[in-house]
Amino acid sequence: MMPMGTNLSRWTMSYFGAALFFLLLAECFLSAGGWSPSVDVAEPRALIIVHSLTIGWLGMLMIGALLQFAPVLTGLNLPASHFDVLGLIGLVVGLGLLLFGFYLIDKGSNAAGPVMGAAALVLFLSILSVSMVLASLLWRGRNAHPASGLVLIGIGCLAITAAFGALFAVTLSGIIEIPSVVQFVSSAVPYHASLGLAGWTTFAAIGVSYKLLPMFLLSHDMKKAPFLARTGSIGIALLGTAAFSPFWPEAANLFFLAASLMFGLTIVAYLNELYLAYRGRRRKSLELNTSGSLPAFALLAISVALLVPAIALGAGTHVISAIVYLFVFGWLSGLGLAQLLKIVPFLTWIEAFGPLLGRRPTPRLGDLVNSRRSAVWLGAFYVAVVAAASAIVLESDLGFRAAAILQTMSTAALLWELALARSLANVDPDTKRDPFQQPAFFFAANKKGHANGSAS
Amino acid sequence: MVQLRELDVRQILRNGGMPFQLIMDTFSSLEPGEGVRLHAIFQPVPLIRQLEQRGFSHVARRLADDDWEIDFVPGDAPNPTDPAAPASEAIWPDPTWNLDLTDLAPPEPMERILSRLETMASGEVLFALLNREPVFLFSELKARGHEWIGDFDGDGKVYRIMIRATPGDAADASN
Repeated sequence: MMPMGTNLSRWTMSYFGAALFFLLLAECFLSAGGWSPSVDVAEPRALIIVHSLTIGWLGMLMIGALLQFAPVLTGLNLPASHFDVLGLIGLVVGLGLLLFGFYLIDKGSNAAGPVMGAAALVLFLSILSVSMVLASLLWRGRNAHPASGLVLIGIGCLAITAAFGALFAVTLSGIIEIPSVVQFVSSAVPYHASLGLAGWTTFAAIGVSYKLLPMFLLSHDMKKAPFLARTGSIGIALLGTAAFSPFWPEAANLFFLAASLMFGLTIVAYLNELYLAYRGRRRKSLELNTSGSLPAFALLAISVALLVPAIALGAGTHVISAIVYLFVFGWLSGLGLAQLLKIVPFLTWIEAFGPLLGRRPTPRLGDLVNSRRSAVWLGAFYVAVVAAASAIVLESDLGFRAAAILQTMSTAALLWELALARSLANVDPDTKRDPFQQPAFFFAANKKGHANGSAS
Repeated sequence: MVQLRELDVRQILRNGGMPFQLIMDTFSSLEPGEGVRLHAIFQPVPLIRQLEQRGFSHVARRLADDDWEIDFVPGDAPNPTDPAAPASEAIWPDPTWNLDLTDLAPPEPMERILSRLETMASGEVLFALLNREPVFLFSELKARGHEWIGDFDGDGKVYRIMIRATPGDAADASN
């Protein structure tokens, strides 16, 4: 096969920037008491935090990463890159409207309806357009790497999650008042959440890690992607069946439980592969992105192992909330932050020094980020997440808030480290002399016609 | 007029397969005076060299970045006016450098290869083994004007790449 190479995705850094902004925003709300274990998760102000995290942080993080890595997975170039920036603007504007809509509902304002309607429309269209671009690319290149199939499952779930979300938004805001739809919506929330967190973000994360982890660990490719894709599809189909049998609650519960068992099976197979990849690696010392991901994998194992019995035994809302907290922050966010500590320096290094390689001394990739400091912040983040989840189980508002403050501070510190890496603040100034050009902060400059291009 | 047998190996190559044996079998089964029109996704330089030794001349046409049509004709010289692939250009010398970079994590293989290329004379060839497809290296090779061909070995574990140093901005780089 003759690959033509991968260019830097122009807008990935902007997606990452927006994602990190919404993560910090959500954590600031948590620290300020916007939600605590004694408040119902379905309260509008809790939903501000939930959607800031899911659409803002996890959604934009994954889309930004996929814009860069879908071409790497498939060896094909993205067809229309102007969709990237339109999608980004749509997501930010739509999410802003959605959060404002929840605020208006909380305040009991009459304006909530139109705002939620507009939010649903903008978000749905932006998510659909970005997903279509990514899905068509991954489908065309599905034979190039087995991870493409896993990401495709994730993108399929994203589209369904967005459709559910749009339906919720128009129902919640009173635009639709058909009783059967309202009843459907009130029972479908767990499916919306599961499709988003387990279907979309988890399968996208598994897909991307399938290619990246062996690459940085110097181990052989992971082999079980077809198995994961099969169990994943069955799990999603069961979840879909459960979601559409709301008028027969016993059957819905049974299908939901079967779907979580299937998901558990997928995760066990994935974790087993990860174990083999780490054990069989040729690179002896672990870098921060590979060691810092280990707690995320452990928390994935713990949260899934707890989730299945919790659903089967009908555990209380607090237990489920704590498990979901571990899943969202420990697994998805922990993995995301740990990998960003490699991805951001890597893309920055390629952009800034790629054209100068071989022509004069360039800094090592590891010089871009301060690993020791970052490791401390990442460790503090995981400790805070576990403490917060424990506080939810114990229903301690005070404990939760203290943990949330620690979590917010460690996230802010990690953001600062990423900003230093992106602005190349840690590298020797001598390596930045002419014709070096500082990369723009929030996007990758087009290398064609860039001063670095001819490095003469 | 020479009769050309059509052989399309594009899908095999896209699937990561190795069509070498198939191509050789096709050539062995040719009637006297018969040639082959090969459809591939890159210009298969080593194959061309091998077939030239067996008395086939060729004309290569690049229809798209990943779509090549190569006519192999027995005996006679290729059409000399074809601008896409002057025959002398298509013959690569044996590699002057062999690098085993399979124990290095990205981006080190890229650093080593680009550094080595800077020391090489135009036309010299570098052969390297890597543990991954070096996706970010390709755009840098393209920007610098080097030519390359690469694929995975039969097991799909080692990526092999041959690069011919033909810096597009050679004049600039020597400044």
